[in-house]
Amino acid sequence: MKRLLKNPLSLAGLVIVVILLLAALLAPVLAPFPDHALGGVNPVARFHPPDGTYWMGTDDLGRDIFSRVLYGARISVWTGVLAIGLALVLGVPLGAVAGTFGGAVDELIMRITDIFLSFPPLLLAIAIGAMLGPSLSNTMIAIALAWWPWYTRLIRGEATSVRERPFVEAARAAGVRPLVIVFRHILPNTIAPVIVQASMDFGSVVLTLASLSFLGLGAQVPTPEWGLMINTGRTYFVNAPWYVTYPGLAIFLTVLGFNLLGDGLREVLDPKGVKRSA
Amino acid sequence: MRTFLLRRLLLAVVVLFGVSVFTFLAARVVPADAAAKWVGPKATAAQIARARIYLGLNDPLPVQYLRYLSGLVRGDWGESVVTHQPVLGDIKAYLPPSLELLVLSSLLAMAVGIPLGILSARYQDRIPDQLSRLVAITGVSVPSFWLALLLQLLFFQKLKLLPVGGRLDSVFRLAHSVPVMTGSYVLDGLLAGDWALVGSALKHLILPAVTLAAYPIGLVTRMVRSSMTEVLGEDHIRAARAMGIPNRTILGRYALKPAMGPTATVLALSMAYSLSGTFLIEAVFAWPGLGRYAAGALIAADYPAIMGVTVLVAIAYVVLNLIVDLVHAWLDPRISLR
Repeated sequence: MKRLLKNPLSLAGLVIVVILLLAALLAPVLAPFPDHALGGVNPVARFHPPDGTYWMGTDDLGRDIFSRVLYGARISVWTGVLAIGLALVLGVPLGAVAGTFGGAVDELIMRITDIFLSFPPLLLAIAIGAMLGPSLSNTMIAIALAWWPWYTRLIRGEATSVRERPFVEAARAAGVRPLVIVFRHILPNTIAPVIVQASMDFGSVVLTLASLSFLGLGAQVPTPEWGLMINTGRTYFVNAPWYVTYPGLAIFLTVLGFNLLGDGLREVLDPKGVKRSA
Repeated sequence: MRTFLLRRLLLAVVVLFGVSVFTFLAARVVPADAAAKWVGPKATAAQIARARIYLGLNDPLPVQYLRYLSGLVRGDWGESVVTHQPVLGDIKAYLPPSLELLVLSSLLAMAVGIPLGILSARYQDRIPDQLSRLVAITGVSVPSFWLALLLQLLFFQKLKLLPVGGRLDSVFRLAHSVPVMTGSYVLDGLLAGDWALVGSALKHLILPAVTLAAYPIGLVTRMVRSSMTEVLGEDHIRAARAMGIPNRTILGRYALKPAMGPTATVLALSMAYSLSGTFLIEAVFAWPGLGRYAAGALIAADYPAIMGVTVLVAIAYVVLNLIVDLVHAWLDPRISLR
């Protein structure tokens, strides 16, 4: 931890992440116009440039962009956590089973991951999102379905080494049932690197989420989702540049914060090389 | 080597089979109203029933799948629900502008990423390293569609230096006969010696290419840095240092070469990745490529078109992966033994 915080870039990442989490948590308290994020409109102040009242200006319906960006943090954090959680729920047991049992089961599960990994993650999320229909929760499912094979791979690798350890052999010799071995003995000893990887993936997940919303697949109006705000605001960007600037800045800083932190973490944990790109 | 080759080819076939199953389900089975979608919102029940027969939706699923698969192989990728044009024809028409963009952005990624990565590895954990890491992480963190808008605001709106979108100036296009050869205006212009065309085309390419290059720049920088720092820690480099070989030679001759393999991999894969990145930015730049076609298809829920593009990108990804693996195995025989 000390080594992590000594690096100025990692420290900056941590600060950004803490601010983001606070913004998400305290949005109802901090937002000057909470109803603007919850469906209310304010037609008297359409396209108001940023000033003392509207810190980030207002949008085409006169809504305070600052309030909406704050509430957007909630959506991004929450959806991101759920998407990664779902990917873990899918990917981790499959990987543990593949790594523990080997043989035909392993081969089958690994070939399925090969198929999923043969798509760029963004494209896979887009294709699944298109198939499920546009909505925020479908986007979440699409992202989880695009992400799980990475965790399956990772945990399979760990499991193949853990299954040779004496305590697993002891359990096997004592007649413990195979699935109990997987979940009670193998999983707890392989989960740590996966949790680290998942937290490093958070930035990419938030970015993918915003990208899908930008394409019209994710959140729908009037949800204050960052990608969707940019998609709506881009029609007006010449006259109201603040409309796209601030939600985009929020996405950028969030992803940057998690990636800076993740990069530092990777460096500390595995100084020799980078295993996987963002 | 033979077994490795066979295994690798077999894997590619398995993966492509999976891709075909996935896109079949996504384009033909999951949309509940494929026939209704086909005839449009004002169709009668009889028209929908006729469309079901025309599209073969009444046949058992395995039959439908086999028909879909044989269509894919024969080059019949279905018809767009919106334009009723063959999807493969659409893809052929929209692909060249996207390829032009991809190639230029990949060149940019190499031109910026490789030197930055070397700088990082040379000055590990010092200021140049921190700066280039910041650039790399910024590259992979910035939402491309937002970067596109910011660049437009700056270079078009404020500085009035570059065009906001399109491939050529509209006035220029009207007054100028554009030769059609490769589909890339820059190449066509060069081949025809038409410098005005090359100039106009390049001016329009700059902003989208820079936007698209941001992500691969980050990837390439990180990959060069990490592979070079790994090599620099090895014994033969220490030996070379001890022998008094100048640092330049060590970096350029002994450390950069082994780093090029992984970098080529990253670049090849990020090209396929950028192909899906065009979905996000081509619409912003009014670039008439595959990405804008796909984004439009998404909005219209045009499943055959979406899945056609998906199949294409997946094939590109699989083929690039295969080539990269084979080249690696050829360069480093140890890989095929694993």
